[in-house]
Amino acid sequence: MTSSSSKAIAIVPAFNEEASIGTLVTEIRERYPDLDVLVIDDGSADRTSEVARASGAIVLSLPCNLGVGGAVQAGFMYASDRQYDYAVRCDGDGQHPPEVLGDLLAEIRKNEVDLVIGSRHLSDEKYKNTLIRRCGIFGLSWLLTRICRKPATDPTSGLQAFNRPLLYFFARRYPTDYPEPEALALMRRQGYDFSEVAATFRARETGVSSIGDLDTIYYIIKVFLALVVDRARRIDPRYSKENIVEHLS
Amino acid sequence: MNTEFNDFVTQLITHWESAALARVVVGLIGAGIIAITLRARSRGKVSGPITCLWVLLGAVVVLFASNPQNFITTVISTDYLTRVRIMMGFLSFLVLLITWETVRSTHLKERYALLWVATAVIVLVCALFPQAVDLFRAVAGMSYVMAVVSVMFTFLLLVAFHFSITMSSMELKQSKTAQRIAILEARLLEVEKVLGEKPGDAS
Repeated sequence: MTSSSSKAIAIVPAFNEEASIGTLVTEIRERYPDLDVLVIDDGSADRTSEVARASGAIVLSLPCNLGVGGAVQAGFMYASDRQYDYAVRCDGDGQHPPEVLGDLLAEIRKNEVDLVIGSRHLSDEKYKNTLIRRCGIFGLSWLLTRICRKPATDPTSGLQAFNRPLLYFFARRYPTDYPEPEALALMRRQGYDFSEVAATFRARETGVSSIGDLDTIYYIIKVFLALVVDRARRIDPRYSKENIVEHLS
Repeated sequence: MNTEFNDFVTQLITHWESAALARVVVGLIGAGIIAITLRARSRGKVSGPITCLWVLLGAVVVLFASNPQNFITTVISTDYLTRVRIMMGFLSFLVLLITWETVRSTHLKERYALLWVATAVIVLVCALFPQAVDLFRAVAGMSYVMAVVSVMFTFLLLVAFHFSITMSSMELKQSKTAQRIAILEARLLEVEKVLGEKPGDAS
């Protein structure tokens, strides 16, 4: 079900993806004619911005590389400024297949939750990963399920859909590097809710993962530390869900 | 004074006494320092206190080169603690001076200068009043020099930590600015598209 009055936007962070960004943007636009496509070029050295603009996307061209957290947040800021009702994130490296964006948008449009996560672990397909990364994701998933008091089977997934109050919040508060698990805990504490839908990811075609093997260790330690520190912080009532919903209406 | 140290000093003196070429070179370096400083001073490129420091350094070097034996024996004859205190006093004076000059000439923010000044003042106090660190020494069971070094180290850690905090907040501000610029640029392009202008000929 798609209500035609609501505006939705696809947020596509991309870093040096000139080879694949054009096809991705075209594919999203053909599949979902109602969906605006916003590509955030995270300070690429190549022609990512030009290619994306030529394919008909709106492009935010960051003057320097901010990392995926900063790039995605720029997208949230734009979507929030421009009063989009929903946004769906789809990474520019091609690992998030455009065909699943529809599932996420349909789910977020039911207005039951503020965030919908496309989870690799709810789908039947086995997702190949290194041992250490699987351990890390398992540990994070276990911890976040307890923090959120709700199953979070794939807290590192970047395939997510957001509603307007959450976009408003994330435009102002969003963690920087490796943001997804931390953001989940953060929004949950402020009173937002999430749900998961099954999604199958593609193996990446071009480019390399932003997370190398050594970085995985840093990732795990950093995220665990951040999760613990976040628990010790006070909840910011300005950005609680009730206040923002009231503010936006 | 123990014999090992005395042997070392004798050896040092004989080394320098016999090395005529090295003494000439060192003497020339000292004279060069004085000459360069005075020339820069006459052109108004350095301030008074800095000139004094450099001339003093050059004079010490020349003095040493002209008569190493006398120089070394005179230095050795003073109390070990006094020498350390003079050096520390000199060091703190140097830090104060550099901080002052930097604040004056390159707009070092006063809030960053403050910790440096505090470090220098603490060292100066330790140099002028050795009994200031007595309590600390008694608790930690250290020698005077070690105690002063640990106090300095603590302050340098504080300076470094201050930088970490500042860098984090700068990073946040920098990323907010970058995001805002990108959004404004995108909106500017939209406006230009509507107005039918080509990018670049907005003026």
